[in-house]
Amino acid sequence: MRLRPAFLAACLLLVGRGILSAQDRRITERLDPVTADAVQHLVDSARTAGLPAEPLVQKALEGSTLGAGGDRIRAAVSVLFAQLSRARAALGTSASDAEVTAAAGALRAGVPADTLQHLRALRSGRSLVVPISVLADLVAEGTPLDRAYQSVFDLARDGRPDDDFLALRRREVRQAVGAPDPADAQAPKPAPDPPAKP
Amino acid sequence: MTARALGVLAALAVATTPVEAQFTGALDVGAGTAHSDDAFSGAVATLAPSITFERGSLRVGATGAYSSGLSGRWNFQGGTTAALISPRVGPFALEASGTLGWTWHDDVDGATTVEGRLRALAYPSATTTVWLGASVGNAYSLGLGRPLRRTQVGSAARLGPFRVALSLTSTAFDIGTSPIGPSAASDATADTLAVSGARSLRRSVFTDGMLSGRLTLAAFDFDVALGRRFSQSTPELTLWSAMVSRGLTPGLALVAGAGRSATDPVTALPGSSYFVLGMRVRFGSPSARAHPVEHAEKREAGALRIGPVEAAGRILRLRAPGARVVELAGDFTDWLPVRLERRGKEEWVGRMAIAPGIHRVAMRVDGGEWRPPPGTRPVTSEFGPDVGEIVVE
Repeated sequence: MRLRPAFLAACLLLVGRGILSAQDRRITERLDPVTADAVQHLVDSARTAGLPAEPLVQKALEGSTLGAGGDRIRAAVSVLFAQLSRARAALGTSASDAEVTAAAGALRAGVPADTLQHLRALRSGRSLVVPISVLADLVAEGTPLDRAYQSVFDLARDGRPDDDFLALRRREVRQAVGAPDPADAQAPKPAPDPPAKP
Repeated sequence: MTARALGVLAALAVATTPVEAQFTGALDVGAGTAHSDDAFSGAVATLAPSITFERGSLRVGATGAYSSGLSGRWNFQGGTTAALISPRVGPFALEASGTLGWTWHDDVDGATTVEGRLRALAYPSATTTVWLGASVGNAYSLGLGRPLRRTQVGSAARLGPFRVALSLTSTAFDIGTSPIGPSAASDATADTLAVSGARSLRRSVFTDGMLSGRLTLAAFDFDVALGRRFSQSTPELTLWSAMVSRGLTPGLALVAGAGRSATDPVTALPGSSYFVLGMRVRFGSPSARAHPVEHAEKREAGALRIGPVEAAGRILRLRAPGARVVELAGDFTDWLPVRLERRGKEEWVGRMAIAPGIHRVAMRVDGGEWRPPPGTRPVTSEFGPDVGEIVVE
């Protein structure tokens, strides 16, 4: 009888741990126990911190399929965890998991965090998954960041639908062999000309 | 000659660039006030259409600006430019362009200009472009063709949400005047160069240094520019402009602009101080939207192709000549290898559920090394072998 409180506490603890860290069978079945524990810990931390966990699982599985050792898998998942954290910080707590995942990919591609914040402000209340994905893809394909940034922002500012971002990507990716026109960045529209002297 | 070279360049570009074309355009309609250097002062109405055609590395644009005063005086300045840019070699690229411009006025002869330009571009970083260019051409008016030369150096960069550019453009223009007399000396921007028969030929040389910037905040675009015109024979002049546009709908924006522009000796358009308020209507959209798959197929024969969503999943196809077993793994298979089925001699097919977005994927032939499937973007994996990235729409 004296053990009952301790027994109940242990049960509650186990149940709580089970809720918090529902073991992902994909991890436990395909990774060695040490790596699986480490990855599971990061997955749990992600859930606690409001970060998407599935990308972490996929990263670990990718490592497993590609034959990586436990150390490399743990390191890669940790790096991704940090990227997701930065992405969440850039987009705010209202961002969806899909947006945060896309933003982490953009950070990995070299898109600055303040660019993501700016995009968030520009497209408040609408999904950023496609715009961010397109921006990340353009940069990764070799489109200069400046050009990719302006193209995506022009569409976002105008409230264009996702299809227009995808169309932009198709067009830009095929032009990646080219380069931006510096004149685009120069300037303002020409001044209106006054009527000429007779 | 310049126009012919431009035509050849354009034809080559169109013929050799296997990409879709895009038309975009805008029409600005406004009204305001202008106080010009030639003493005109008063209300003006402006109409400024622009259109751009892009296909691969070719860009053709046309712009126009019509201004009319209450007195009935008007002018129209138009121009069309075609530019062809080379593939990048390391951080460098070349751009060749040609411009045809013209001005019309209500009661005086206008001018027609033809210019050819070559520009070297360098990209020292992902957010910075530097260029050095030179152009030659002619301006025709009053039955005379007069040579025109420009050199330009500049740089554009992105600093956070700001886009800034700094440029120096030097223009040398031979001005013909007729006949020689007191009026010929009235143009203080010119230095006498030569005298030929009843006409004098003088060279106007001036350099415009401009610092410009653009900032987009929410639905607002801000464009500002500040510069100085330098010339040996004319008082220095500070130039500036500020424009703000506020998008109202995807195709409509409210625009307001003010500034101080300089006289253009080439077209004889006078400089002015101005303020204009108006509307901008934008139109045009990518023309390739209806045929993305066909373009993807042209892009790389044998590339991994992913079909549209179907009830049983998307169909994936790729070519792997000589393979006995082809496996695909990606984040849409939980990185479990999935065997594809052979169709015909070289094509392999699978059906999988893939959500729209960016995905990582790898393929393996006959149990060999994992590698990026053809047509995907190779990315360095933290785990050794490269994998591919694809965007699924």
